[in-house]
Amino acid sequence: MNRRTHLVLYRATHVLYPRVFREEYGEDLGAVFEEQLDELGAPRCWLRTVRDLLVSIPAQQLEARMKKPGSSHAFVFPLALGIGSVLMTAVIGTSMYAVLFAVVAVASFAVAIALRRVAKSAIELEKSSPWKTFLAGGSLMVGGLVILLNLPANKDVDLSPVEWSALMLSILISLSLISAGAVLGALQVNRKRHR
Amino acid sequence: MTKREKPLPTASLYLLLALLAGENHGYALMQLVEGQSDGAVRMGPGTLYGTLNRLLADGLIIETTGERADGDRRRYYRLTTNGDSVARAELHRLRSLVARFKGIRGLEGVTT
Repeated sequence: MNRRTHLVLYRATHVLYPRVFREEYGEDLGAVFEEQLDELGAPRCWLRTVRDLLVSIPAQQLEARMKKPGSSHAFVFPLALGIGSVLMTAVIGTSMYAVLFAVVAVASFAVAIALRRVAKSAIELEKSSPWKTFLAGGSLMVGGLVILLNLPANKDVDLSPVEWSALMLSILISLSLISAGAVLGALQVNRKRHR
Repeated sequence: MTKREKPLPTASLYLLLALLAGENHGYALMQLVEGQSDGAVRMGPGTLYGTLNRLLADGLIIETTGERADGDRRRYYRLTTNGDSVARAELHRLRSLVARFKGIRGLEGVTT
């Protein structure tokens, strides 16, 4: 195997690094690899390189994920709803409210993913703070509750205390989310004005 | 004295100590680190540039590419004022650690 083949093989592994890292340091990684190849010879160079790849690729991937703005908070709300629906199902059995929670959790996951896709860069993502997710999630919940309560089958139905509590809790959560979204949104608008 | 509370990770520490001798490029730093650690710290390219990237982000080193008159196009790195004081503080910490063990019987050969 000639020197160029070794380098092509090594460069092929760069695809496993985060894009930002390989764009910034791809050339330098290749240059250092070539110098190592000359100094150590192929077997020792590859032994060291494989060890390095096994350590540095997961480290860089983890670092890149931790640096992504909004990577955690955008998913906290749908995750909380998802856990909430599982807990509700465990406590009160499969009821329409637990199902509603699950539907809203899935819907808000979709909203969170859509927001991330809409944001074309990390900077734009940072600008699209979580208030939109809160507002969208809260509004979805209110909309779902209104539809659910106005279904012909649910009219004039006496709710059990557990169902009544679940309904109150859902209303409380949805209104809290809308309020949180409104407050965070107002704060962001205010911050932008002062810039 | 130091602006950094936690001890540095091994790779970062050795790279900062290697840069105390003056600015240098990636491969030379890798060799210096291997020499200074008696072969105990052998970095590969990914670890080297990953660590340099972190040190740059922390403001402990800066890149000096483009400032060289000899036409060398490799990236060179040097310590910032903060990086220099962090490296010296780390050396001081290690020296204090060795000094603390000097009086212990059986460690005379290790701590001199």
